[in-house]
Amino acid sequence: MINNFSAIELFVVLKDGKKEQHYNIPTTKDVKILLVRSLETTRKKLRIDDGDWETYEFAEEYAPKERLRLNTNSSELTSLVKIQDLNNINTDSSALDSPENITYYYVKFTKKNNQALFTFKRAQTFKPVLEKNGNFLSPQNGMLDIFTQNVFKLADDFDFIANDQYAYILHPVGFKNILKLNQYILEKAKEKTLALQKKLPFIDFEHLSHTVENNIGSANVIASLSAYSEIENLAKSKILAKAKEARIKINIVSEKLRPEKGSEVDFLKILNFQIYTVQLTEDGEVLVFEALRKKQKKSMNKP
Amino acid sequence: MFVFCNLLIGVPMYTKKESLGFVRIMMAISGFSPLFILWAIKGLPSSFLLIYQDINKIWIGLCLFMIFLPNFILWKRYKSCSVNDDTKTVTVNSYKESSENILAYLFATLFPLFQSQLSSMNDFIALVVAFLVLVFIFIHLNLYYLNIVFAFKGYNTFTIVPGNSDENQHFTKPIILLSKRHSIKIGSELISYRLSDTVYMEKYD
Repeated sequence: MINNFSAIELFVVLKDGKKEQHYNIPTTKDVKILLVRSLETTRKKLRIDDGDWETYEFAEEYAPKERLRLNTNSSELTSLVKIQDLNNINTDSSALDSPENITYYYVKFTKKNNQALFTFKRAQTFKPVLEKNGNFLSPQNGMLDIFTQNVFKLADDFDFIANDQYAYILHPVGFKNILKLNQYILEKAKEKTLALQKKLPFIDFEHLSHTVENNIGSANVIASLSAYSEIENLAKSKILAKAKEARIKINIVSEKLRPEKGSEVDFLKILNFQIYTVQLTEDGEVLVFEALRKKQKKSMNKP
Repeated sequence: MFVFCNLLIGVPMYTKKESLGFVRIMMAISGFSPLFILWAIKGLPSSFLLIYQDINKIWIGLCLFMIFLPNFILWKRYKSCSVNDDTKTVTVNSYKESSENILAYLFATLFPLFQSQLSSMNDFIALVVAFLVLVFIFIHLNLYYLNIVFAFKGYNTFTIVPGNSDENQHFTKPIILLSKRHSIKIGSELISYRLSDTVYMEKYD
């Protein structure tokens, strides 16, 4: 099983103030076999060889286990690319002496053709289990004694797998936490919001940027909008109509649409197809819904 | 004894964390194998025979033990790396050849020690202390990779150092790479056995 790879390397990442320190941890053959098993389990759960992938969206709320994919060229994944490009990381097994500081661990599987596959997992399951689960006993020198060594538990799957093209995501929360996507998205939110001004000149994104830079919810929506390739096709009249249906007041300032104060996030969600209206009753009441996920059905109108 | 040696070589059993300190000491002593060979051949001066007639046999036996044990430990370490696939990808961003250290090793250590005259027990004790100090210095300066055994096997020594402008490096200690190559292409990624945390031997399938 491990012979399919020319190298299997385990790394842990420790918090060091605001910085993160990476350490290479030597492992035995048996641990490597476990790591390969975890990889195979993750691949199986992801059905990685099947097609029909759903793209990870930053503004969506996902279940604990999903089957998602994101291109590593995405600007939000620069931290992932940086990790993949790290080399000659210090080997130091004493990094495990401070398990409370381990934030996540990852494994680099180098195939025989020198292609590298990275797998990541948050450290919750890697922490020592000894204190939480009571005393472990083990036979030592013919007597049963308390086992005092640190015991680390490897999870049976990884949060996500990444190669040079894609990140395949099984546990979206782990994916977001490990790569600190919220922090990155918040840092870039204002810049991305202003960049949308060119694509939708009739919306006052400069005003919206003040809300976005301090609100992770709206920053995620902006990240999702920025990735939408057909955003320029959104029509002003349609947006106005939908906002009216959803009872979001829009002001026109310098010929640009500006949502009323307090409605900025909802307005952005309309653009991102996350707020929609439904009218199915005779009395004409329009119901407003917010979607945590937006999975588009195949259009009935398109040929 | 075998279990103890296994623990220290790096074959994990019920043990505390591994530091490979014992392996590094053995690697350093293994590097002095030519000295022990020369000492065994030279033998002790005749004045020592007055202390004990068979002291030369003990001396030769001791020299042979000091050749066999460290090299056996080094071989066990290599086998442990091979069995456990204890490897690391060494990325060569910048390196310098360390062959000149071999000359320092020969002229500054082996020859002076070999040429020491043992005319009394005090000389012998001084020689032992000098040898131990050298072993300590070799370990402290991470020179324990200077080993004639590696040279016999055709390995050259390269010191991998941080490049000037590479932001992707995350290591603070130079890495010693033993490789049969005569030069290494910058940017190469070489899968290497971990003899210690700073000394690696390129893996050849």
